Amino acid sequence: MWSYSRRGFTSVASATVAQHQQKARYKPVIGLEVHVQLNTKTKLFSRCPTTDSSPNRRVLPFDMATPGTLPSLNSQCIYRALKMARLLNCHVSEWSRFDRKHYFYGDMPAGYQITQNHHPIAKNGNFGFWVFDEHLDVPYWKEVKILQLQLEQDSGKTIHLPSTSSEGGEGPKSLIDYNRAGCALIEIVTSPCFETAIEAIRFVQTLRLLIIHHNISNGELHKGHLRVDANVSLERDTVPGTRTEIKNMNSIRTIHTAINFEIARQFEILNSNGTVQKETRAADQDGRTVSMREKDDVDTDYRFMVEPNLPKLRIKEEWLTMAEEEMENAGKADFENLRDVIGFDPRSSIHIAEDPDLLAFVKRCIRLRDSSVSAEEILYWMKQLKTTMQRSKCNYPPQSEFFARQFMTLLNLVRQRRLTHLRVLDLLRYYSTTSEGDSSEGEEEGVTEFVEKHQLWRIEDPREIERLVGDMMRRNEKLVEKARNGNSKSFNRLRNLINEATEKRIDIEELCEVMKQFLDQKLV
Amino acid sequence: MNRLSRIIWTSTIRANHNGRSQRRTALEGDKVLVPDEPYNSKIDNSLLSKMPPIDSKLIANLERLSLVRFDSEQAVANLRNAIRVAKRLELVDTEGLEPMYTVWEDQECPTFEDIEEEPLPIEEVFRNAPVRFDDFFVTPPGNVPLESNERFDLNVINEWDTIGKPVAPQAKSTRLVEGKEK
Repeated sequence: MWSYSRRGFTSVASATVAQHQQKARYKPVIGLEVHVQLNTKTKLFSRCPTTDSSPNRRVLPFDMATPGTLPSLNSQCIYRALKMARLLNCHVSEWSRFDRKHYFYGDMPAGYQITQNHHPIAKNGNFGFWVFDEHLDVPYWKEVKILQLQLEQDSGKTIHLPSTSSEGGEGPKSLIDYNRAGCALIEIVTSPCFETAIEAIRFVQTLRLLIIHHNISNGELHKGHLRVDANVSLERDTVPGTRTEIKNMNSIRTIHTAINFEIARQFEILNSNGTVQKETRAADQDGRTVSMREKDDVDTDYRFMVEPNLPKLRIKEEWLTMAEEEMENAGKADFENLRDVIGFDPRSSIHIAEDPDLLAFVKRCIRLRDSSVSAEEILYWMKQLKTTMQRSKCNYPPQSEFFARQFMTLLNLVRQRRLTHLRVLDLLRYYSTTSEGDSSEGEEEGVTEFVEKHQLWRIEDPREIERLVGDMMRRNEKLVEKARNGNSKSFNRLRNLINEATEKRIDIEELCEVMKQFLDQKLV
Repeated sequence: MNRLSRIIWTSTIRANHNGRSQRRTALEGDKVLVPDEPYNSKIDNSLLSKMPPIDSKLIANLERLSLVRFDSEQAVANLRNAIRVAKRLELVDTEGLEPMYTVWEDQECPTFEDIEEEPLPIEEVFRNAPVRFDDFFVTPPGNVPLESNERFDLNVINEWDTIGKPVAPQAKSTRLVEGKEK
């Protein structure tokens, strides 16, 4: 039995060898359409505010298609589109034009959407990003072609009410809120050059961080600032297959699961000699794709026509310069800095940049960083810190500047081998569980003073270590005897005794080494 | 005589019959631009490309696109005539000409600063709404597939077309329930 995998196309446990061979003949072909909601103060064609509000409180006559109203184009939307064009290395057309795309929904009051189908603001771009995954040994760099960028209106929102079941009840109806109607979107159309769901989500993740950084969109997925459609088909022995379109996904997890689900679904159909229907599908809560519309609706005729109320939009040279300058002033995004300047790996830099608290912590640490501390060391100790804090049920990552300073001091000290690994773990626990929450930073004792006061420096003198080991062994002859006979439990017990007695001040490897010498040479 | 011009002609006669004094202009003394006599097209209809056959599939498609239901064979026949008149445009020589989409083609698209205006007060928003539910507009459900079974007698449409009866012939009895959800 074939089962839908949530992990991925290649990792289905129940698949037989034959199925694997069968699968190897198919290559998933995925193209994306990303709708980015711009963070301008007003809508694309009306000066209606875009702030959140209760239903139908953000509406001007144009937004509900009141006859006689005309569109007035928002200049900030053009800047944002030009910035996006530069981000995706697109060619900005000398002029672009708007089209009407007709369809009839209550949330599209004019009966058409103003978009840019034939002469978009920018086209022919390319965008590179790192692809990483737990199933991949090494991250790889992927470049995708961008077909076009278009400015367009968003629709309103619909709440569907089913018919009331009681007698004399009403039929189904829709409740419409026009607050979002007419808000500005940029649609990014990629070529179908993604081969896995992982590639698709890394693209969206990277893009999201960049558009937030460059102030193009607020990029909040749960608010629908980024909505993704995916076209999925399976190419068999280089022969293209029928594609289906998954509409309106607004979380990274959904994009991942739904694309993988769709690949698996199409494979199952093709593998049993069926035909994939060209259709529009939606992703449900679990990421399964379900058929959305009637089959013949796929050939919907949108009756594109040029929008007669908007003349050609000529892109002025100074607009391009302004967009360029704004982007240069914004500099690199945090994840790019983490990756390219500090040396974090692609996965960690994205992971950190996506979590504001974690990012704040890392940025605090980096400011205090001595350049000899590497990104790997920071990552290693962050992982230790996370485990420690979770065990003591504290909130990771710590928020205070004080802690960040102690954290970096500890890293430096362990690096210089002035503190042992185990001692640092203890100190991390101490500081992370005590330094948070109170603002009495000035009164707290820094790592250096604390260590100095309690004399916790690593014992460096080999003769001192030998003396301490010898002492402890003489006091535990029975354990020594057992350890010498190869009993590892006794060896460990002995080691722990010494460790405790010396307050973890001997490096654990060094300690084991010395203990072995003692046992082998029968020095006790 | 061409059918359409005959319709216009008869209606003009009727208008004339009611008295020339009834033809008013916005301002007194303005020139009346609508001719009293119908203009007979000199376009040779035989030069026009053939009319597409109007079958039930085309009718259904047009209904879906326009969101307008034809209510009788006569309505479909009227549409056919309208298409025939529009077809005359095919004879205009547009060789090598870029189609225009607006008379403002040389104008640049004006742009506006991103400065908020006060949105409409909620009562204004709903002033034209026939149905309101709390602060929402209410519409019938969208995306209801249209049924497209044979509703019209295609022969009757053609008959009407050739005879040119001013009254619609009897419509086929099979009517469907509008807006029924599938």
